[in-house]
Order: sequence, then structure tokens, then C-alpha cells
Amino acid sequence: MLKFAGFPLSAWTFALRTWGAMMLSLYVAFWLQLENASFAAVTVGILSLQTRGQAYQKAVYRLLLTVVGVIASIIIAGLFAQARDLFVIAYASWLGLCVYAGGLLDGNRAAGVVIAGFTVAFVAVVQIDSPQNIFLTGVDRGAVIAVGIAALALVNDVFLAPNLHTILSGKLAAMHERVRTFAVAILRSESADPIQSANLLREITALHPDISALVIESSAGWARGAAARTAAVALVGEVSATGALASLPSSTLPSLRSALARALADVPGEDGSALRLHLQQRMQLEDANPHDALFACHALNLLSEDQRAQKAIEDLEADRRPPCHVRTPIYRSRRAAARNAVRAFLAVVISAILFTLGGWPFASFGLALVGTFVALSAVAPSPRMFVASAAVAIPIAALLAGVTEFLILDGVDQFPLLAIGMAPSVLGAALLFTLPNARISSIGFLVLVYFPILLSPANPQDYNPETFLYRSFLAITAVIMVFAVLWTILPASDDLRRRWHLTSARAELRKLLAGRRSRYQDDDALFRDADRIGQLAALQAADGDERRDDLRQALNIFGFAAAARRIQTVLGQLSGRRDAHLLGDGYAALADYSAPRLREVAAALVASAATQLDQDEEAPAWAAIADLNWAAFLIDANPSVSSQQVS
Amino acid sequence: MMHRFPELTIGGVFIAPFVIYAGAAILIFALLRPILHLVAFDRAFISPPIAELSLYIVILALLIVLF
Repeated sequence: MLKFAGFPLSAWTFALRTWGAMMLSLYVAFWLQLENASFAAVTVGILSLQTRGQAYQKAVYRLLLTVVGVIASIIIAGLFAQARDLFVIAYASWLGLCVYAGGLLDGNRAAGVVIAGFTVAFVAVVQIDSPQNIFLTGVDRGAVIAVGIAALALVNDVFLAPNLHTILSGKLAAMHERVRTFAVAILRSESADPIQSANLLREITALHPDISALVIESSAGWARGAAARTAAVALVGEVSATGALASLPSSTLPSLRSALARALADVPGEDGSALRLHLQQRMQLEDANPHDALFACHALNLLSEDQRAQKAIEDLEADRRPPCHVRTPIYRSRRAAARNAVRAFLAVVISAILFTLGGWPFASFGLALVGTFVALSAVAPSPRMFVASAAVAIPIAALLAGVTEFLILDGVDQFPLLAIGMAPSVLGAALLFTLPNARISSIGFLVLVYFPILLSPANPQDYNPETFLYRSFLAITAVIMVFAVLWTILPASDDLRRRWHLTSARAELRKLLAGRRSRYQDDDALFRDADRIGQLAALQAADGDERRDDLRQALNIFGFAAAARRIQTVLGQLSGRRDAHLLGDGYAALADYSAPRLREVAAALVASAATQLDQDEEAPAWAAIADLNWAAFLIDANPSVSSQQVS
Repeated sequence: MMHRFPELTIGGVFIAPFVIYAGAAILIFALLRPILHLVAFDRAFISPPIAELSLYIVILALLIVLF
């Protein structure tokens, strides 16, 4: 790979595009004589993502939710302009509401929703002394954001920013290869480590924000998005089927086991359709060993998910819409979202009191920044890491802004000199943003956004050191306040989050067993459960063994919930055709979590399959038999987990 | 005869006619997307982003000239 000064060429082109778009947006905003022209540059900094799809998705959410934020600003200011205490409480409540809503979403959608929250700060709170200007400020803000978006879109299109779909199809293909390698290792009798399975699920579900950004990238976006969603769901299904095979004794059907491993490893000469037929016959043998039938069932499942993933990746590359529609919903903890919302509310109220007591000028700017930091930290993967990065990035941004304004520019008023003066800081921050290290990348992003805020380029530039010092001081104070708030007010440790995730998984399983149908299709519910395990895997536990135990427990619940959903689906398909009493027994056995009764229902279905079934009924009946036996096997294999689940 | 551009005033703030044209062009472009996918517009050009940007500018120019 071609490198310059330690960074690959792609990082340099990204940095140059960002700088170019920032300067173009500033130039246009100056030319249009917009009030807050510097926010056009800030918009470019916020939207500077490495692919077109991601940047466009973020831009659309930013623009639409800024409009929502401006409307909220007008309402809040209209209601409470004469009562400042209520004004601050209303702003804090609005921010808390947006943080809660953002906590239930992911990626750019979550960031967009919290933008609606802190837009009120920059539109209404900074105009607290002149509420008659709020509408004008809102329109001006919308205009500078539109200019920033247009500049970035133009530069990205003309200078050929990478397409998200090409990068994503590469990631999905690589992921598919890793899942296959994992499955082959399990089939070759290696033991399954729950951390490995959970990490695979985490990496697959982490692609969700990118998948949702595909839609907006081009005219083929809908088809590509549908194909990518299908591929992700199939990969989750493949990991789930591999986990099921790993639970069975490694001595089960050794010849079929190695044939399946060869088929997955694409060994030439291995006939997939013959293997599939063989497995189907094994599954439907009336006197088969229970483990053999279960192995055959999950092996078939693994093969079909593998084929589905392969086909979906090909569809993504060919812009084809896959035949089945999947939604890939995500799991988000409502408790964590509510806690973040309350914390955001309290952070704003406490900081407003402190800023008022301090009596500093520009205090409203500090209050606005507190809102920004607390809201953005709430939707970051790790809020504490985000604020820790901000504590490093904001002083750096302040230093760079000071050096640029008073040492490099030092009184000049020509635009080309401003562009050249800003170049080192913008290019450096953008280059840091491209690094794989999450902490350094986060610092790079924050410098990219807060450097133009603190420099605040204007036409003409006022070069007022007092203003600069106050703004920098308030920005650093705001970060310190949010840092203190995050550690003291309703802190949510990883340990606590782990308990929430496990509790919610158990509660949902209890509801499922009690017969309450999920509002998601089986594939969608499987993806959502995988997302929960992915979040669990991302948390740091006290020690490795505890983490392994938690993940094992979560994977057991994940496997059992998948089996229970399949049983309910196939029993639903058989209803009306089969003896209602038999199907009712199936539901009751599942609700009672009773392995012997599940086996009895399976045996009764086997007996009726031999005599009474027509061709249409045969496939769902055999699927139901396999899943009933599988559920019974899981109950026997995990008695301790089962007792917690039904408690 | 002079071309009269449509004017929009929201809450006493005058919105430039260009903004209305740009917004309408985005809307028309969004409505055209399924058709573009149907005719494999993406595959007809070496650089689909530039082709789509050009199409947007053509729509914008047509709106300005015709309305």
C-alpha cells in the first residue's frame, strides 16, 4: 500500500477532501453573508465520514433533525422566554427526551436524534437574552448546515470518495469466510469458545449502521440494502447453526461431519446437493439416533444459511434485490437509554446553576457545549471513552485554534490565507480520524469538529483574544463538568449493563415461552438477539471467566429462543391440518419448559408423519419434530440456566 | 420579458428562489431513483456519483428555465 508520512494514500485523499469541502463551505457561507458561517465548516467536520453513503445518511438526518430542533427552540422560547428557570428546565427535558430516543437507535440515526436535542442550545440558549432573534438564528443555522452539506456532497462526488457498497460487500465477504472457518473448526472437533461465537455475532451486527446507510448512497441503494440485510441475517443464522452443532457430541456422524466441513471449505469434488439429500434422509429416519437426527437438522440449516449468505453477497455486488425481505431490528436497552436521559437532564440543570453562579460571560455557550458533550457521549459506543477523548481533544483544538488565529493568521483578512492557515490543523485531525485505534480516531474527529468552533472564522475576523480565551476556557470547563457528571450521576458500569442485557434476554424468553408471539419474524428476532449478544461481548467484565460464563449463558438463551420461535412457527403452519390436541400439547410443553413432554409430542408427530401426512405437510412436520427434540436436548443440557429462565 | 422567480417568505424571512428550485430538484431526483435503478443507470457510467450529480444539475437547470 502506498504511504506518505505514515498514512496511506486513501487517508490523505480523505483529509484533502475534508479540507477542500470545509473551505468551500466557508467561502460560500461568507459569500452569502450568513451570520454563523463557521458552522458550515463545523457541519463538514461532523459529516466527514470516509464513504459517500455514510456521509449522505448523516447529512440527511442532520438537516431534518435540525429543522425539528429549530421548531422545538421556537416552542420552548415562546413558552418560557420570560422565566429563565423554566426555560433551562424545558431545554434540559427536551435534551433528555432526545437522548432517550437516540439511545434506542444506532449509528447516524442516533447521532441525528441527539442533534435535534442540542440544536436548541445553539439556537435558543445562546439567544436567551434576545428571544425575538431565535427564528432568524434558526433559519441561519439551517442555511449554513445546507451549505456545509452541499459543499461536502459536491467534493465527495467530484473527487470520487469511496462507495460504501463496495467496502461493505468486501466486509461481508470477509465475514462470511471467517464464519465458514469457524464452522469448519467446530466440525473438526475443536471446542466452541463462547467468546469467539459472541465476537463473531458482534462483528456481524456492528455492520448494521453501514447497511442502513446503503439506501441513500445511490439509485440502487434499496436493492443493495436489502441484499446486505439478508447477508447479515444469514451470517447470524450460520453462527447460530454452528453453535448448535458444537453442543452435540463430537462423535456424532463422523463421516457426514467431515463431508460437511469439506463442503463448507469448498473442497473440489464435494457434491453439496448429494450431501443435502443424505442429511435430509438422516433427519427423517424414524428410528434414527436422536443426536444423529439433530446433527442432520442443524447441518442442513448451516448449509442453507451458508448458501443464503453467499447468494445475498452476490446480489449485493450485482445490485439485485433478494427474494425475501428482512428488517434486521436492533436491540437497545431501555434502562440504559432512560438512565442516559436522566443524566443529560441533570447535567444541563447542574451546569446551568454553576455557570449562573460563576457569572462568566459567554456562559450560554458553555451550557450549549455541556449539552453537546453529554448528548453525543450518550450515543457513543463507550460514553466514558468519548468524554475522556474529548478531555484530550478540546485543549488540543483550543491550542490549534489559538495558534492559527494569533500566530499563523495574525490579522490577515484574505480568504486564501485563511484556507492555508487552517490546512495543517484540519488535515492533521482528519488523518488521525482515519486511524484504526478507536481512542485516537475519536480525538481526531473531535478536533475536526471543535477546531472550527473555537477558531470561529468570520468575515471579517475580529481577532479578539478575550473572546477566544473565554470560549476555550468554557469549552474545557464543559468537558470537565460532563466528565464529572458521567462518573458521579447515575453511572452505568459495564457490570450493571451486563446484568441488564441478561435480565432482558431472560424476560423476553419467558414471554416467548408463555406463548406471546414476537412482533418480529424469526430471522429478524434472531438478528436482534444477536445484537444483544454483540453488545454483551463488547462490555469489559471483571475477569475473563466471568465474561465467558455470561456469554455462555446469553448464547444458551439465544439458542433456546431461536428453537422456541421455530417451534411456534412450524406448529402455526401445521395448525388446521393436524390434530389440534397434539399441537396444543406442543405449545404447553414449551410453556412448561418440560423436556420429556416435548419429546412425547415429537414422538407423536413422528408416528402421525408415517401414516397421515401428505407431501405439503411433511416438511413442516419434520422441522417441528427436529425442533421439539432440539428444545428438549437444550433443556437437558442446561438445567441450571433453565431454572433461572423460568423463574 | 423578464423571468419572474417565485418568492417564499417564512415568518418575515425571505427565502431565495434558488433554495426552492434546489429543494424541488432534490424531490424530483428522489422520485426518479426507482426508475434509475430499473434502467441500471449506475452501471451505464464509469463514475455513477458524477453522473447522478450531473442529472441533478440538469433537473435543477430545467426547473429554473421552465418555471
